[in-house]
Amino acid sequence: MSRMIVADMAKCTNCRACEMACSLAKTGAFAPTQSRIRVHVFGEQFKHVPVTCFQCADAPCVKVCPAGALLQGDGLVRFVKEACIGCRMCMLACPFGVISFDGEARVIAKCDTCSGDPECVRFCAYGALDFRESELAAVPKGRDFARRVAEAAKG
Amino acid sequence: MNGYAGRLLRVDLSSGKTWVESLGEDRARRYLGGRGLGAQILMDEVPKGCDPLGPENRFILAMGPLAGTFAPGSGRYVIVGKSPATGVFGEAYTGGFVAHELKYAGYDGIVVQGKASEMVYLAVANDRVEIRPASHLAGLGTLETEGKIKEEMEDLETRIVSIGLAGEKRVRFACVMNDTDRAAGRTGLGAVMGAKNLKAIAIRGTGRVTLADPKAFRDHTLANLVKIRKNPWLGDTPAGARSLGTAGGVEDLSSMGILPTRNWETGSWEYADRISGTALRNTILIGHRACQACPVGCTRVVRVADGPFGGVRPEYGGPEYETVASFGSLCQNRNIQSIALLNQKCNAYGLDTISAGSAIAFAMECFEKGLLTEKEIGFRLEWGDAAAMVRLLDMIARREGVGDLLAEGAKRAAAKIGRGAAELAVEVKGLEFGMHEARGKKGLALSYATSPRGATHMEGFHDPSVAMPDAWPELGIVEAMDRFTLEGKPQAVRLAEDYTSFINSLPICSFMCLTVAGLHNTEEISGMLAAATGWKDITLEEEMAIGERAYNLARAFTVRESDGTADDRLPPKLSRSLQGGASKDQVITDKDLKVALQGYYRARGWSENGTPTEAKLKALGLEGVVPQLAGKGGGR
Repeated sequence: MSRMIVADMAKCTNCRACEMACSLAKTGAFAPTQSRIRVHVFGEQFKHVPVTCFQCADAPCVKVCPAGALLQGDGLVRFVKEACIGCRMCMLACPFGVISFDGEARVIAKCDTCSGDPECVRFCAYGALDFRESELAAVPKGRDFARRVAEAAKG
Repeated sequence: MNGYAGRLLRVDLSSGKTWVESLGEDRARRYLGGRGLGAQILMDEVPKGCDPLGPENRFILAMGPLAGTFAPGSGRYVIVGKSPATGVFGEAYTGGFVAHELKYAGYDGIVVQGKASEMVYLAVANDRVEIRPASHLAGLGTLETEGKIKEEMEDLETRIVSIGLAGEKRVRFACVMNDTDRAAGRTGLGAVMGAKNLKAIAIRGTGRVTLADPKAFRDHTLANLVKIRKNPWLGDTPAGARSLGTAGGVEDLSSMGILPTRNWETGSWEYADRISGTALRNTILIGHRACQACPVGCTRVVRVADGPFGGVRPEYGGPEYETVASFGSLCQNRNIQSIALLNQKCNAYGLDTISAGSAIAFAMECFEKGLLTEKEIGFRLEWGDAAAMVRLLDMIARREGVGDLLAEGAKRAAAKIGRGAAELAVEVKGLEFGMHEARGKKGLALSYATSPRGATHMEGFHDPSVAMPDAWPELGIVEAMDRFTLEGKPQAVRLAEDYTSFINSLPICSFMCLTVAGLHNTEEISGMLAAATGWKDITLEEEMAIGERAYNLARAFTVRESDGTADDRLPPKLSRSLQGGASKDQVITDKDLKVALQGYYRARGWSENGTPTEAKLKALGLEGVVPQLAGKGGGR
């Protein structure tokens, strides 16, 4: 079973620890613009939405990559940095805007789940990010909903 | 320079010039950042007797070596300047997202001098710094100001420091706002921005913060997070700050008799449960959010759609403890919706909620005693009349009618009213009390009386935290001390103040400096600092010295700017018995205070009149300050 990063926007407080932890792990410095996960804020609606690569099963980025730098792997869209030619076609093709560009190295950057031990999840103090088996990923959300139903039924 | 950007942005609004100044590693290690750095610049650059609202005053925004990292509570900065409220050392702390953004832009702080001929804002995008016209932003609230500037910066990620109408009108307790819901509240530094015609500072940074030892930094941070989570006041406990915000303890304070009520007449209030964190949660709360790099998220977010106090929006956050007390119990107002609206208005106008609530409570008591009449105010101002409070707050921000008088702060307003009104003003050096009853927390009373900036609740300790033995052995605070006594406390107060001063020089949020016995994180904080900067040999002793240096420097500025010596006193109300409740009949007489002050001055190594001595200043490496205190009786 493969695992995936699951975000729960109801729990996110916009503290940005995930962005900082990611950039430290990936670049050795704190630089949120280099983070592979981003929190988007909608103040009027009071919503904070963490978004990172969904590791698509049939990924548009893999299809468009002319250099073979993006590969479909075991529950993951793998990135081979050495093969990247920096053309950014994948950024164009990605429907979610989760592939960024590293201006210094002139290659793209995307989430690799820190080889199955994601730093963003470790540093999320609010349980808004979790790393779970794909097949079970939706269970907690379903349970939260069911709890509301149960509470409503209680009268 | 690891941890630091190594640069300060300098701005002269009179000439329109901007430049970059090197911070320097020596200066960084002596003062760290925050309070220490701000006090150094203020002391060196602001001439004695300068007008706080004149071009010579400095508006100093300072962070330190942890800003930009994921160190818990590092989304913190301080504003330092000569205070229009007190005429002495002014400082105000705030959280949010500005500290990180400015660090990513490549600066450890911004120092603004001079005065623009017309209203401007400062736009900082990494190395691109511009002074832009802002007359189209005049009079706008913080949310609208931020929206317009973000459009002009063409970047929604821009972070903004700004003032509202109150700062423009030089209200003496105008605050500096950032991120719409965060306030650098105290000592009126929003009026300093207003007087410089500086409406806002917009910041966008896309750079990085490098550390000396990233792996060690990560390890110390993880260890620190574990301790923070274990802390009963901050963790996932039902009454913790995460669940209920900072107002979670309102009912407890009332039952201990230390909830400021009816302009400090009593410390217990039968309606405490109407304004508490629990009350908020059960009524208007829609969630909570965090400052950058905070694992607690005490910021409340509320919404009040309609009704007499409707129009409260989530962007402005929600009331925290100081605010529910100042607009709630202090004015005997039990309407939580109105407190949310008053909070939002303060955030939009850029008013310090502590001093604003205090000014209104003062006016209510003046009304009760016939010192302010219905005719003078324009309406009746009875205790607990929420609608009247909203009207009065608008008048203060706009300086209309009696609002113009109250905009001067309780001390000046009382002097103008005369006829004994000064007996009703609860302030020290012109700064209204934080919402903590000093007669039931007597160590705090000593900090209120002596702090460089006046009656602040962010200096020293809150007495219940030292009620048990071995409260803080790392600092040398081991004896249990009753909250009702001053005896034996001066030395402990001094030690706690020095450590707090170190925390405020880092600076990190004071909540992230754990004060629960057995769960202190002094070691983890040292570890993070050493790993960030590469100062492997830094010790708690050196940290205490950094704190003491910053404290003495701020104190020296206050002494220098005072007539004669520093005005260390407590307001008349404190020598009168607290009415009812569990702290009933507690007083602090002038004699009690005098004895405690002598003990405190000795503990600090100051002269008998509270001026830092030459020997003390030299021991702290502050030789240069000695001539500045000539004639102040500091002695050798």
